[in-house]
Amino acid sequence: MTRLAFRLARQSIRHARWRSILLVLALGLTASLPLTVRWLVGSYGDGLTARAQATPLVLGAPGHRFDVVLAALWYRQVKIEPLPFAEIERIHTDGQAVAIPLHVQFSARTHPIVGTTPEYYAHRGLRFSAGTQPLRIGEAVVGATVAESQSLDVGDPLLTDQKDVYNLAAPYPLRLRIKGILAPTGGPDDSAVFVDVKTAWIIGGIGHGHRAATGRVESGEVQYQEITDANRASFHAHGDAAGHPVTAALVVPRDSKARTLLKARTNVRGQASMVAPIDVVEELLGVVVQVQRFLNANYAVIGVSALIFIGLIFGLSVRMRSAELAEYSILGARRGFVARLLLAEWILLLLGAALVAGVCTLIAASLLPDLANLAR
Amino acid sequence: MLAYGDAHRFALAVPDLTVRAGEKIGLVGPSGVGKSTLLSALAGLVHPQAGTMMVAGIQLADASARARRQLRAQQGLILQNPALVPYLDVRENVLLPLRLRGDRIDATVEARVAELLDRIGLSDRADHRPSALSRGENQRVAICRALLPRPGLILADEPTAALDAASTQRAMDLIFEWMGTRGTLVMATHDSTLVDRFDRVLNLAEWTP
Repeated sequence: MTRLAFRLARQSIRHARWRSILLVLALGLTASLPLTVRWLVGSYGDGLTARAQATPLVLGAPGHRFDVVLAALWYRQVKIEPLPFAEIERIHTDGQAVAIPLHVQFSARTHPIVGTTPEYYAHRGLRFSAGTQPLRIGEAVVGATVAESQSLDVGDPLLTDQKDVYNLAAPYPLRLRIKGILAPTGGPDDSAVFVDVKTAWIIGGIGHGHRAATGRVESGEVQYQEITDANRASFHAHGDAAGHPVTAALVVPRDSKARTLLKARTNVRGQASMVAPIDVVEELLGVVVQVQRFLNANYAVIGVSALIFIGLIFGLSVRMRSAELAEYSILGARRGFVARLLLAEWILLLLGAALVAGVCTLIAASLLPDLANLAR
Repeated sequence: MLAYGDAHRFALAVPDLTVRAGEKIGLVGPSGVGKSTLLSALAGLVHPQAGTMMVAGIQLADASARARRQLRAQQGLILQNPALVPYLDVRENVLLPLRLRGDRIDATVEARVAELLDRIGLSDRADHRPSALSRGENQRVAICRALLPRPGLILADEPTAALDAASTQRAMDLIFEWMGTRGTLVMATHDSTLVDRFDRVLNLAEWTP
C-alpha cells in the first residue's frame, strides 16, 4: 500500500509539474541560504584556524594585532606602523627563536609581493614544482596560482606594480626574474610572489643601484628598473639595515619556555607586539560566531514562516483535492491511505527541495573566493 | 422504516424495503426527492437518523470502520458527477479499485479493462487523462471502474445523465450484461426509457413525508 501511495504521489507531482517545481525551488532556496552560510563560516573558520595553528608567534607593530596577523599569514596589504628590522635581529641575538621577516607592501600583477628570507620556505614546508628559491636580489618565486593565472615560467620577467602613479619621486617598478615556482599548497602562498627582503626594500626605494639598468615595456607606457648581473653589485642601501622596515615577522621559538619568555619580554618592552595567531583568529571567529547567531535567529524566523506557508499550501491543496481524496475512500481504500498518499507527496517534494538546497550550496561554494584571496 | 433528514422533518422516509440478491431496482422520482440520499445511505456515506439498514448481512449503523470499508470494496458506486483521479489516465483510473484492494494486475485483468473500454466506446481514449475527456466520457470511465471488480452490488446515481441515447443504451447493456443474474443493481434515473429494464421500479415521491 505504501508502494502504491508513492507511485500515485509521483504521478500526482508529475501532473502538477509547474506547481511542484515552484514549491521545490522555493523550499530548496529557503533552505540553501543557512546551509551556505554555515558551510562558508565553517570552511573559513577551519582554513583560518589551520593556518594560525601552523604559525607559533607573530611579531608586529603594537596595537594592530588583527592587521599584523592578516598581513603575516594571509599577505593582506594593510597600512600599519612598520616594524624596524632591529626587532628581528634582537630575537636572533637572543637565541631563543628563529625570526622570519615578512615585508608585505607591494604587488606584481595584483598578487602580493612577500619579502622574506630562505627560512620561510623551510618553515612552511614549501616545495618547488620548478626552479629554486630566490638566491639573489631581483629574483622571485611565484605561487602555483600566480604561475598558472599569469602563464609564468622559470626565467620569465615579472614587473612589480607601480604603487603610487602620482608620486614623481617614487622609484620605477622593478623587473623581477622568476627563479622558481611553488607547488600548490591550497593556501595563500599559492597567490603570492616571494622575493628576498632586500629586493622588497629596493622596490620601496630604500635600496638602489648607481648603474641600474632601465627599460620600457613594449607599449612604452611604463618605465622600469632591472637588476642584472652587470649592475647587481652596485645595489646597496644607505643607513643602518636595523632601521629598515618590515611588516611583521614569524617567530618560531625553540621551546614552550622560550615562547612564554619571548612573548612576555617583547610585550613588556612595548616596542613591538608578539601575538599567537591562533588567539587572534579565535577572537576574530568569536565575532563571526556572534554574527552567525544573529543570522541563525533570522533563519529560524524564516523557517517558521516557511512552515506556516507550507501548512497553508498543504491545507489549500487538500481542500482543492477534496473530491479526489474522498474518491479513494469511496473506492474502498484502507484507513489512512489518503494520509499516506499526502505524506508520500511531501516526502518526494522535500527530497527535491533538499537536492536543490544541496546543489545551490555547492554552486555557491564553488563561486565563493577561496582563502588565498584574503591576501588581496 | 428508514428516515433521513432534519429531526423534525425527514427528507426521506423509506418504508420497509428488501432488495434480493440479483435484483435490479430502479429509483425514480422528481429531483430532490431523495434518490441520491438513499444511494449514499446504502453506500454507508451518510447515516440515517432513524431506522436500520442491512447490506449483505451487515448492520450498517453498528458496523466497524473496517467492516464498512470491506463492504464498500465489494460495492460499485457510480456517482452522478464522478471524481476521477486527475493524474491517472483512463486505464489506470479503471484499475484503481483493484490496486487499492491490493489485487495483482495480470494479463487477464488488463484484458478485462480493454474489453470494458471497448464495449463502452473508450478504447481509443485509454491513455487520456480525465481533463481531456468530456463529462459523458468521464461518466463512462466511472461505469467501467465500478464494473471491473465484478461487485455483488452496484449503486448507480444517474450514471447515464450526461450520455446521449445511443451511449445510454450501450452503457446500460454493458451494466446489465456484466452483472448477470447474480449482481444486484440499485440505480437512480430520470430516464423513462430505462424503466423497463429493471425488475422493480420504486417511485420515491410516494415515500416523501
